[in-house]
Amino acid sequence: MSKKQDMKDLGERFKSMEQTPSDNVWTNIEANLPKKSFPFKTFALAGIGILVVGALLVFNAPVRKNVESRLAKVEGTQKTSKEKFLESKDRTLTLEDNSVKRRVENVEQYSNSSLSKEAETNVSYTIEEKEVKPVEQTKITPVVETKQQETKVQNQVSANKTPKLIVENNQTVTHKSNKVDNSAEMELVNQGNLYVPNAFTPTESTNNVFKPAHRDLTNYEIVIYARNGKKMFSSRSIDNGWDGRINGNIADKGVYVYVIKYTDLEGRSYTQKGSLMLMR
Amino acid sequence: MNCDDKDIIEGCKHYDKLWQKALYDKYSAKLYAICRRYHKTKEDAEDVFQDAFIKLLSNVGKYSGKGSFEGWLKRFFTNYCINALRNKTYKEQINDELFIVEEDEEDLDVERFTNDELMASLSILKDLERIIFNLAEVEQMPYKEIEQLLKIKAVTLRSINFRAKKKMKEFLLNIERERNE
Repeated sequence: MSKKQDMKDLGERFKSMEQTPSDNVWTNIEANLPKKSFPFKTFALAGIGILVVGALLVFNAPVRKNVESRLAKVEGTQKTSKEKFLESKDRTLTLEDNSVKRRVENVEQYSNSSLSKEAETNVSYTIEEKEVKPVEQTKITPVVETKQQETKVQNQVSANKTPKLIVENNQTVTHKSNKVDNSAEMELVNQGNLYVPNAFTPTESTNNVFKPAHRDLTNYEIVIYARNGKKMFSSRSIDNGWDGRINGNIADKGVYVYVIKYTDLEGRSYTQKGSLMLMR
Repeated sequence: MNCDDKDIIEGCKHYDKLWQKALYDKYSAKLYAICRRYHKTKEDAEDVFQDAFIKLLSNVGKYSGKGSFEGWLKRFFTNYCINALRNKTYKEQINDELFIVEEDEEDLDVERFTNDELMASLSILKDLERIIFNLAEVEQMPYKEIEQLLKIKAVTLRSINFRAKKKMKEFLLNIERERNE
């Protein structure tokens, strides 16, 4: 073998080599993990959204009347302060043949109406143009959807302790296939494959929130039950996990059950169930 | 569990701890090897690896999707190591023995040696020799580029590289001789 070849092989050996770091390396990294920072971008985008909405409202007086009369019918039971909050944020107008679609967004419900939990329920109405997804709807039906970005904004903004409004949503959550098909909506029950931890320690300083590993999804819901069937927690946001508390206190140690339903970015729905250990 | 790069990237963009660990589990061996090559001791390599990894976790968003994720990770770590070492001065390592040495005829079959033995042969080199060997032989960087990076003349680079390779070869052949006794 020639000298040049030797050295070329040597170079290649080094290039493809693998070496295992010692265990304390990960421990050190773990102690300094970068975490999510305050979502300035999301707030900025929300602010721009409000300005755009405001501008559209000002410049589209005739359409506005039509829209407002429809909304008036639906908003009957809402509290006024909430109404104001919703109106200012989530309504975007469309100008498409005067056909208006209503969507119910971001219904977050918690099992108890105590004030100890910081989130509140927001029911907002958005009139939107037929946009991104090629879903053809020939009828106006309320579709329950969760938009990732807006969920975050509402989670952050609603950190104050206003009285809770719990809306019992009597609509069934169904999945509409994205194929052009006006036939019955199908609920697909596929086994989900989210990466879910099997235990957590709410009293410690790490691993103290139970939630699946983040995935971008179009629809997500988790409910956690105790073994006796009592509902402990629910959420519509994958990043919003259970801190182990019920009524403000950390729940008993033991086994709990979770049921997750979600729709991935390809439009397929899944259900995933399992158990988790709450350790103290 | 062998995770999809796509999931790892998305998860790390959201600073999800589980996905950060998944990235570590999947790629740490390949990336740590890069740090081992550039540093004399295991301890130095581990320190640099830790710092580089933490920096990586804040920058996963910078991966544009072009080319393989693994390739991007390796470039990230290589650049980190080079930058970390580049600013040191190596003047005292340049001046001695700058003459062409006789080549010996013995062949070196790289396959006869283990990874540990090869790593050991790197560790006997001086810092500058090690960096230049890595850049020229492993990363296959042209001398013109190395010249710009380290601000050392190409002529000097070549002779240092030559010296490095000779030392490594001698070291490895000695190991083999001892093995066979």
